Amino acid sequence: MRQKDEIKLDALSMMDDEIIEKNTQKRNKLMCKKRAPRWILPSSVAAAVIVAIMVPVLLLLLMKQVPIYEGMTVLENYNGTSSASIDPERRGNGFDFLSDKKDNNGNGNNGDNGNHYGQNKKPTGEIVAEDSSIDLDIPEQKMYYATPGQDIYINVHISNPDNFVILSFTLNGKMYSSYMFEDGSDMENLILKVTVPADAEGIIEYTIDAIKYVDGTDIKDVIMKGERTIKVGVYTDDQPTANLSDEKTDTFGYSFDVSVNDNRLLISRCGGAVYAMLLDDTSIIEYRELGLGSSYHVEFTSLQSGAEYRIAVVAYYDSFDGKGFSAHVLYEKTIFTGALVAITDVKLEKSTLTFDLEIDERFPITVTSIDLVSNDIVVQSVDADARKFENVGYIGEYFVVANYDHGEEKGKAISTESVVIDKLSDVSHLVPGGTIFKPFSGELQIWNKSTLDFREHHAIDIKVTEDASVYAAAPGTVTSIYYDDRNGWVVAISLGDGITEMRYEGLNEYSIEVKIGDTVVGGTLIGNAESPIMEVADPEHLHFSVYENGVAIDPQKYVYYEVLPFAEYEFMK
Amino acid sequence: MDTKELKSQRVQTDEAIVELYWKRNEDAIKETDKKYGKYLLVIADNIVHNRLDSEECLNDTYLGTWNRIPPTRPVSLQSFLARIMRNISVGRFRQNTADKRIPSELVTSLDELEECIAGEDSMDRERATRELAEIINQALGAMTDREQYIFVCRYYYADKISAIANSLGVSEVTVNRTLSKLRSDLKSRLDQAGYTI
Repeated sequence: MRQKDEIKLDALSMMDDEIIEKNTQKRNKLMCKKRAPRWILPSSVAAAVIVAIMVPVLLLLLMKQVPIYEGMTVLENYNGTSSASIDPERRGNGFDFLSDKKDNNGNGNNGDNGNHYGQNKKPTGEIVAEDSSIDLDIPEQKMYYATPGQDIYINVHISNPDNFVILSFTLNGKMYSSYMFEDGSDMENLILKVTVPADAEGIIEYTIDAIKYVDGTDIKDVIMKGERTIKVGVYTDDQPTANLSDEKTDTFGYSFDVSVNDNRLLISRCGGAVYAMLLDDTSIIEYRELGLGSSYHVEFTSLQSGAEYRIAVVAYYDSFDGKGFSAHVLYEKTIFTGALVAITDVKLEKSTLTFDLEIDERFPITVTSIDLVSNDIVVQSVDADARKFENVGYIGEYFVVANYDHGEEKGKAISTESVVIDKLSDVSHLVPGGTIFKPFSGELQIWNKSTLDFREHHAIDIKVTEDASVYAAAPGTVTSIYYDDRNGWVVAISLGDGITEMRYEGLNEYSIEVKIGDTVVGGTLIGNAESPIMEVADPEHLHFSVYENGVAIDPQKYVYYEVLPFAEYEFMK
Repeated sequence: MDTKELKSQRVQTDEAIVELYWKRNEDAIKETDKKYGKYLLVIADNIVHNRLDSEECLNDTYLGTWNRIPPTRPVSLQSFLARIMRNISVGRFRQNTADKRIPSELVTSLDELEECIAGEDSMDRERATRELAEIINQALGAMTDREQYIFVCRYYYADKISAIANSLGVSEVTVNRTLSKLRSDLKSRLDQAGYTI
């Protein structure tokens, strides 16, 4: 290359950077644009081109348009009658079935039977799984519903701007001529009545073909563009089922084999799915998608020991019940995983409560102590080797709780069985060594030595011996402590059922051991007995009464004592 | 930007491709070639007029880009690549024409400038280059935007007259007329500066 050219090249390469950059970007934009070629034609040629293009277009516009089939629908209402329900929107959220689960213990408490130890917790009401991670891909589908034997009205839609006479069409192989169309039909909407077979079940398809129209003296075919088949779902009792077998429970897991039968292909034909689910009382914990026809082995692992779960097989499909694509529970069961420590065979004989203890020896478990619990309060504790509790006699529900070490962790195992005592076996539980001095008289007026008159006695008087201690008969809450002009110092305890109140009356003011708001269990020390003011002539005694809805009842409902003729009671002597 | 997201797009944005260079991801070259390969080859073809040489220049351009990014982070990747390709192509052109003249658009464009840059070959090449560059930049500063664009396309990128005309939507006659005016202006400036080579 000549030096001159080299110099030119070098100098050109030294052009201002900003100018180069600016024009390079401009060049990038402009060079990539495709411009239409610039045609320059003489006016006569241009006119000829316009005519050559426009004439065929005009001719096309003047030609008649061939009718075009656009699709079929099923009329929801025809002449005031309901034809077939269309339900593309009436879908559940996929988890509606879980909100039907309620606990029906009916005893007015919060539904967990007073058990707050975590394990063995029963479901307590509605279950909602809005936080489930199942990604339901509910398919978009147009589905009509009908019942067996129902008349449905199919509307064939045709674009027919030139109003050609539609002669006939074929539906499921059968030809329908124009005289068979229903009233209200025109050349763009042909209405045909068909009857769903009486023995129909599952999905019925209606396919249209060969729509003919008249053009002058010729019979021609309509252009077919729309969907040619519509589906109508008819409810069947032969719904999908699930069978579980080989169910196995372990301390931390649960497994089973499951097969799903879908004889009518309801799940597969609508793009549905089936899941095996593990739930607790509020949500879906895990799930596995199942196929159809084959048997699947499902395992749920890493569960809590000694805990309650639910297993369910849920299929998502359209069962043609009019609700569209929704969840259907094919199988449901409550399961319990095995416990590291299990307390079994809990029994009460007289006032001795016995039980058995089983430890899962695969794990390093050491039982440290065993408690007897009532109303969430530990009433007695025994050593790890003990297998009984003595002097269990007060009203209440009792559970046995084993405290244990599992490696570095601490645990509690609670008995699945409990013992319920609903009546004291003897008045001596209320007052040690006590005896009935005066019984409940109801409406009968009996002699009162202190007031020197006859009056009703709405309590039992329990005579004190050496020990004047008064113990609570049943678990409850201290609702009031007050001085009564007739009965002296009173501690009232509500049993928590909103109905029953027990009153411990005639107490020594300074001996009262409880305060308002205290939770007590059967056997809690209330205080010492003196005597009520109006029975001061009688020996020192506890005046014990029970009220239901504010009305005094015979305490025999809660305390056993031998009923004697009045004359044989000590107060009469 | 996550590389996986980049792979899911058909044509990457300039920003995404630059990011690949910064992450030293060799997909950067692939994406550059996919987006600008053909464009860059046109620049090379204009200058070296030989497909094999053009493709070698293209590879050199990619290498040059790989070595410049980072530390550079060009705002306009296309322009950045265009200038690298131009300079590499000119270098190859010099090599190829060491002994002989090769018909290329660059040669033609340099010949056009002959009418305003006359004189004999001189030994003081550096000074001559510097002075010429200064005068060319002065001339560029006085041009309109359109004149600048035509000048840069013709004498920096050696674009064909027809390509320049088409990009502006004007006739080739118009482009030639403009170039002639610009050369005339440049000649006046060179004469006034007493520039000879």
